[in-house]
Amino acid sequence: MTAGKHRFSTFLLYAVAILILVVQIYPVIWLILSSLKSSIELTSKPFALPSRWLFDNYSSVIRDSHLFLYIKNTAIVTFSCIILIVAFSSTIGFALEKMQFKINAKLLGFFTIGIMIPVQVTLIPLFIMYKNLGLLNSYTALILPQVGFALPLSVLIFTRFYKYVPNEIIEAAVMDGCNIYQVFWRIVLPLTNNTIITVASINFIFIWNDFIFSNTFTNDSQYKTIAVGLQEFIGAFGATDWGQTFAAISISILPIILIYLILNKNVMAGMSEGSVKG
Amino acid sequence: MKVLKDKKAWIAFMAPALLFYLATVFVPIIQSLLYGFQNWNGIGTRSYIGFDNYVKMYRDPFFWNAVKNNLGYVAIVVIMQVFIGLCLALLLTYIKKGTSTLRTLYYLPAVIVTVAIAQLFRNVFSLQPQGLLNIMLDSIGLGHWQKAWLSDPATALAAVSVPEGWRFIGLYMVILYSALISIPKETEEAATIDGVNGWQLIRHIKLPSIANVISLCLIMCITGALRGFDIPYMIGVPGSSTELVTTYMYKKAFSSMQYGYGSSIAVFIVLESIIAVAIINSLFKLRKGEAA
Amino acid sequence: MRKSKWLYGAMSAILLSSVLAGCGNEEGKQADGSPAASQGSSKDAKTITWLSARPADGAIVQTIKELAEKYATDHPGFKLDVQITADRPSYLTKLRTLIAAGNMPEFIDTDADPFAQQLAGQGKLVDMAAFLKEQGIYDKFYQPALKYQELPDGGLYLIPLEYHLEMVWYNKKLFNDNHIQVPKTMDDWLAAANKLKASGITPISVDGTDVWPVLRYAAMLPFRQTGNAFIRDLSQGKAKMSGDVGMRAARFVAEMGKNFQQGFATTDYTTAKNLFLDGKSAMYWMGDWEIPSFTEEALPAGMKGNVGYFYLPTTSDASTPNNEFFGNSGIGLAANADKFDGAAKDFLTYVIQNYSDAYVAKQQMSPIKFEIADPSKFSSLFQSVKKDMDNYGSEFAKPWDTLLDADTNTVMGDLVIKLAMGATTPEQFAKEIDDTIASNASN
Repeated sequence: MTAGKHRFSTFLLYAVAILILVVQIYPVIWLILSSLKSSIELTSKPFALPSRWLFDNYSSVIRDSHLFLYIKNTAIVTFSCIILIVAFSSTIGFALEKMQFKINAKLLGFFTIGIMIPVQVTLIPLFIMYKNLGLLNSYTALILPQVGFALPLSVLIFTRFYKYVPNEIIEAAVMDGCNIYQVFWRIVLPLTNNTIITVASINFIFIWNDFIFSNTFTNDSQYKTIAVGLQEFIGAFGATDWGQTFAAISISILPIILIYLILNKNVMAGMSEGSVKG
Repeated sequence: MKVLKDKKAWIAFMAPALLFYLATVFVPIIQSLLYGFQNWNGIGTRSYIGFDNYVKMYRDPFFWNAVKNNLGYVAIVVIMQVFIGLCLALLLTYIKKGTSTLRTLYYLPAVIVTVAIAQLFRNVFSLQPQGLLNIMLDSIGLGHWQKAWLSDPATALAAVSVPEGWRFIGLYMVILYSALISIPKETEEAATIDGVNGWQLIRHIKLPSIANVISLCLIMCITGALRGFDIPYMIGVPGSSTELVTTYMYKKAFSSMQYGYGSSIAVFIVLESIIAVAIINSLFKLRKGEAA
Repeated sequence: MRKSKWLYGAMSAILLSSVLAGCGNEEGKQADGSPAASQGSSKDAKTITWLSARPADGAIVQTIKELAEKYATDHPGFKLDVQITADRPSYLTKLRTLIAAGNMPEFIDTDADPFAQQLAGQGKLVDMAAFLKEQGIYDKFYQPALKYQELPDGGLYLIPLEYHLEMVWYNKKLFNDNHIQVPKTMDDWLAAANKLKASGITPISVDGTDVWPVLRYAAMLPFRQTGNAFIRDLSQGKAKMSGDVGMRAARFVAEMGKNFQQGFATTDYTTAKNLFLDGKSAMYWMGDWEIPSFTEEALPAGMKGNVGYFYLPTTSDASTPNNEFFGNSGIGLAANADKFDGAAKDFLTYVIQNYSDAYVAKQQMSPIKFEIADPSKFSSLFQSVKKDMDNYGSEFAKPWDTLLDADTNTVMGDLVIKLAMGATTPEQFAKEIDDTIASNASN
C-alpha cells in the first residue's frame, strides 16, 4: 500500500469510528438536553436545543424526590449481586470445566437452561417463597433472584474462558506441590481478570436496569430502586413529567459514567495481560 | 491429575452455588411448569387440566403471530448486536489511538435506563410531533418516506427491534474486541508472512480463532432476544404487530388473568431457546470440523 | 489454602449479612422507624398499609396523608403506610401478585372490574354500601360517583375519592377560522372533524398508549343509544358486537380514527396534551382533572382565551339525556375484609367524615356533595364545571374496560386501536370481539 492510500484508509477508519460514536453518544446528550426543557417544548421541539436552560427539573428532583435513596439502593443491590455472581460463577465454572467428573456436562446443560427462562413467569412462585421465608421488603429479596438468574450466563462465560486455560499450567502447578484450592486461587483465577470484568459489566447493566423484581418484591419505598423510583414522576391518569424523569435519569447516570472511567484503566490492564499471556 | 478428581474439592466449589441456583431459580421454575398444567386466574381455585393449555396455544392465532414477530425481532437484534458489534470490534483493532476512550463511550447506551431509551426512540420515530428520523428524511429530500414508524403495521416491528438492537452493540463489541486482541500475535504474524492479508486474514484467521466467543455471543443474544420484553412492552403498539411471545405471555398472565396459560407459553419459550442453542452449537461444531 | 479459605469466608459473610439484613428489617422497623405492627387487632401501635395506584404528589394521597397525621395525634402509635405504584400496569401486576400470594394489604385501589368482582365474590372486600349507610353518609355522595364504582352485579365494594367529568377541549380560533360551530350531535362532530382534516389541521390529538382514550370512542354511540345497557349485555354475551348498535359504534371508531393525529397509537398522554396546548390539534378529549392545565394562568401565551369545552354530543335517537355523558369517579378504594376490624375501620370512618372538606380545599371535585363557600379561591373554569356537575343526570357512561372480562379487555384494547388506525375493518373487529367474548364465557 502506498503511503497515501494508507493514510486515506486510516482516515476512513477514524471517520467511521467517529460516526458510530456520535450515534452511540447522541442519546445521552439528548437525554440531558431534554431534561432542561419545559414540558411543552419536549413535545413541540424534541430535538432542538432548549430555548431556555431550565434547571427547575433538576432542583425539584433533588429537593422533592427520593432519588438519592433510590440510587443508593440500586447500588447496594447491584454491587452485592455482582460480588456473589462473580464468586459463584468462577468457582462453578472451574469445577465444571477443569475438574474431571462425568456429571459435569449434564450440570452445565442444567445451568444453560437457566438462560432461557423468561423471569416474569416465576414472579408468583418466587413471591410466595419469599413471603414464607419472611424475606420480602429487603435487599435480600432483590439480590437472591437476580444472582440466581444471572448465574447461568456467567457460568457459561467462565466455562468458555476456562477452556482457553491450558492444562499444562495446572499440571505444572500441581507438580510444584499446589493443592486444588491453590491452583484455583493462585494460578487460574488471576488469568480471569478479563472475564471477571466482562461478567461484572454484563450483570451490572442488567441488574442496574432491573424493574420487574424491584417492583414486585419491594413495597417499602425505602427499598425502591431507580427504575421503580422513576415512576414517581407519573401523575394522575398517566400524565408523565418527562422533564423531571429525564433529570432524574441524568443524575443517576453520572455515578455509572464515573465508575466506567475509573475502571477503564483496570480493563486496559486486564486486556493487555491477556494478550501477552496468550 | 488426581488433583482434578478431588471429590471434596469439587463439592466445595460447586455445592454452595449449586444449592443457591436450585433454590432461587429452579424451584420456582418447576412450580411455574406445574401451573402450565393448571387453570388458574391468580385468585381462585386451581384445577389440573392436563395439556389443555398447550392445545389452546397450538390453536391460538395470536400466539403464533407473536412467535412470528419474535423471530423477526430476533433477526434484527442479532444482526445489530452481534454482526455490527463484530464489525465494530474489528474496526477497533485497526485503530491505534484512542481505542480505550472509544470503547468506553461505545458502551454508554447500555447503561441508560430502559425507560429513557424507550422514550427517546418514541420521539425519534414519531411523526406528530415530527421526530428525528422524519426530520432527517425530510432534510435529505426523502420527505415522502416519512411515516409514524412505531404505529404503522409494516414498520412497527422493526421500529421496536432497533432500540433493543442498538442498545447493546457496545456490549458485544467489547466482548468481541477483547477476544480479538487476545489472539496470539504469533498466529497473525505467521499468517502475514504466508501472504495472507486484509480481508482474508479476517476471514480465515481471526474469526475462526474467536469462534468460541462468537458462538457464546450468539447464544447470549438469541436467547435474550427470544425473551425480549422491555422495549416492545413499553413502546409497542397495541394491535399485535409488535406482540412478542414474552409480552403476550405477560399480558395473558397478569392482564387477562390466565396464569396457567401464561406459564405454558413460558415453557414454549424455554423449548425454543433450547432448540436455538442446539442449532448454534451444532453449526459451530461443523465449522470446527471443517477448519480442522 | 489460607487465601481460599479467606475467600470463602468473605463470600459467606456477605451472603449471611445480606440475609440477616433482610430478616432484621422485616421484624424490626417499618419505613419510617416506627415499630412494626403485630397482626392482632389492637388499636394501639398499628400500621395500616394502603397499596395505591395514585400519584404521590396528587391531591388525594396528600389529603389522606394529612388526615392520617391528624388521626395519629389522637391515636398514638398509628401509622399509615402508603405504598405507591403510579404506573397503572405495574400497579396491577403488583396487586395481583400480592393477592395471589395471600398478602392483600388493609386498603387497595382497584377499578370496579371483573377482578374486583371475583375478590368480592370470595368475600375478600368490605361491603362499602353497608359501611357507608352505617356511617349515614351514603346519601351524601353524588349518585353517579357511587354508581360508577358499582360492580357488574350492582354491589358496592369501593369508595370513590374523586369525581370527574370528561369533555372535549377545543381550540376556539381553529374552529372560528374554519367556520365550525360547537357540535350538537355526533354527526355534527364527525363532520366538523372531517372538515378540519380537509383543511390540513389535525382535528383531534389522542393518547393511544394508554388505550382507554381510544376505547371511549367505541363507547360513545352505544351510550347515547342505550345507556349502559349495551356494554352490560355485551360483557355478559347477551348482545353482540356485530349487532346493530355494535356495528354503528365500530364504524364510528373507524371514521373518527382517521381524524386522530398520525401515529396516535404510540403517542403518550403528555404528548397528546401538549399537541393541543401547542395549537397543533383542534380538539382534545380529556377529563376535568386537567383543569389546572387549562385555566387562563396556566395556558401558554398563544392559547390564552382560546380554549373552550363541550360535552359528548347527542344523537337523534338518544335514550340518554344531554346531561349524561362521560365522567368517572376515579379508581376506587377497597378495604380488605379480613383486616377490617379495629384500626382500619376506625381510620376509614374518620377519613370518610373529613375527606370532602380537606379535598375540596385543594380545589378538587369531591365525590361527596359540596358547595363552594368562597368562590374567589376557585378558578372560573372550576366553577363552571362544578355547575355542570350539579346539573348532571343519574349515571355516567361506564368505561368498557371495567365491565369486560380481563382477557376480552386486553383483546378489545388491541383491536380498537387497530380499528382506529384503519388496520382492520369494522366487520372484522366485531367478529373477533364476539369470538373472544364467546370463548371466555365458556371458561
